[in-house]
Amino acid sequence: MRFAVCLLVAATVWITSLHRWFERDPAEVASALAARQLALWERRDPALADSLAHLRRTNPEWDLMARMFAVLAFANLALRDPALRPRYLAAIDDIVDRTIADVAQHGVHYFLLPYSRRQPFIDGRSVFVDGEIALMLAARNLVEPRRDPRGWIDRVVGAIERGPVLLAESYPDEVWLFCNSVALAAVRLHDASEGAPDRHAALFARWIASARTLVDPTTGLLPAKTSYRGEVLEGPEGSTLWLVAAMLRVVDDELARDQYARARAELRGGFAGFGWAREWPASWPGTDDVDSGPTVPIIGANAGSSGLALVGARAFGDDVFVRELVASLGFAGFPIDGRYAAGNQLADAVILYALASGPLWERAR
Amino acid sequence: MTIRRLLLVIHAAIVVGFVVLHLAGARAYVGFLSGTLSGGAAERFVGLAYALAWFAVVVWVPVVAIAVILDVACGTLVKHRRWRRSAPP
Repeated sequence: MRFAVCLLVAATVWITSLHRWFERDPAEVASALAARQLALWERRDPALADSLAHLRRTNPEWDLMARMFAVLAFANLALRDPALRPRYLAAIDDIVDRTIADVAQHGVHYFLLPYSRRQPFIDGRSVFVDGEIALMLAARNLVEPRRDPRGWIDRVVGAIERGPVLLAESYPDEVWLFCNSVALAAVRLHDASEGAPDRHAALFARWIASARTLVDPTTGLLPAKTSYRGEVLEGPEGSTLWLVAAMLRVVDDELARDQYARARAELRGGFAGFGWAREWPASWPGTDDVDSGPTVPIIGANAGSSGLALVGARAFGDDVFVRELVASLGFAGFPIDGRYAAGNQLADAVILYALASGPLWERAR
Repeated sequence: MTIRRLLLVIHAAIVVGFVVLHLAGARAYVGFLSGTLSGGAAERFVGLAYALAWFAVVVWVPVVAIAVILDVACGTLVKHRRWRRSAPP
């Protein structure tokens, strides 16, 4: 009996203080990740090629996303550290040139899941591919002008304008809010880089008004996926919402803050100083798929949603949630030599972007 | 062997197992947690063993260690009080 009581006391003391062993300064975590990511991309390291090839076998989208998050991270780091700016910009240019060459050589399907070929696009192209390339180019130019991204920007603006509810297709007759918010952020960054940040203010206002009509009446959250005509196909999902909120900060801060606050209320989980995010709100239960990644049973901690929650938490200065998520990364992410062994190249790029983010969006706002 | 001693032996074995796996570089194989580990069943097994050992060493072993220390401390305190009560004035 006495030992059982001692066990209970010990568990309470240890579990409630465990997070302190894993709390880290976000800048310190970012520094280790940045050094490794920069070295990988600069050297075109075989480990990087292996890791991207492995991502492609699981989901070709992740290859493009890993490149985009690396570029966004490097752009922020280039603004934070002028001494390293030439190296970061050279890495960005290499990634962007490779990506544009890949699309030119293989077409947009190179970065899409095989079902993209089942039927033709209604509007002709994928805003997932065009939007992410546009954002990479615009981010680069916002740090220092290089290659004119106007063709890519005009393409995504045209695709959004032609959409029946101002949403462009990611897959044939399939719209992802994730991709559309990335495309809108690209437009804003491009306009800011040309000294005309409000050039597309009218489009943004119409887009926001249209998007508000799509929100889930129970949670007030934007859906993850709709048809081209705007019928909701998948409800709110953490792996979409956190990024959408972060991207919309440069488009409409009010809607962005509203979505972040609602997502936090619906999806944030935590215990004893550790934090995580669920993929689905209680009112929209879903099942794990290739986008969400695995979920820890019972507590509902989801890998994809938790990683992108860090992007959202950093974008909105939510230091408490950032501290909890970073503690969870140290505990269950298995950091090793500037990467997280439990994750992959995309996860490392997302985490680095989250921790480095700030200066680029400040410049665009 | 008392229960306390048995617990200490079992948990010391867990710690030793973890140290061996760690020094052998098994931490690099926990990518199975995200479903993106390249490699075969052997790598997955090593990764699983490492992850289980890690969570045991970080979460459970310290709890048992603290509980044993508290139990020993309580036992010593009780013995001391009994000795003081039974001691002649």
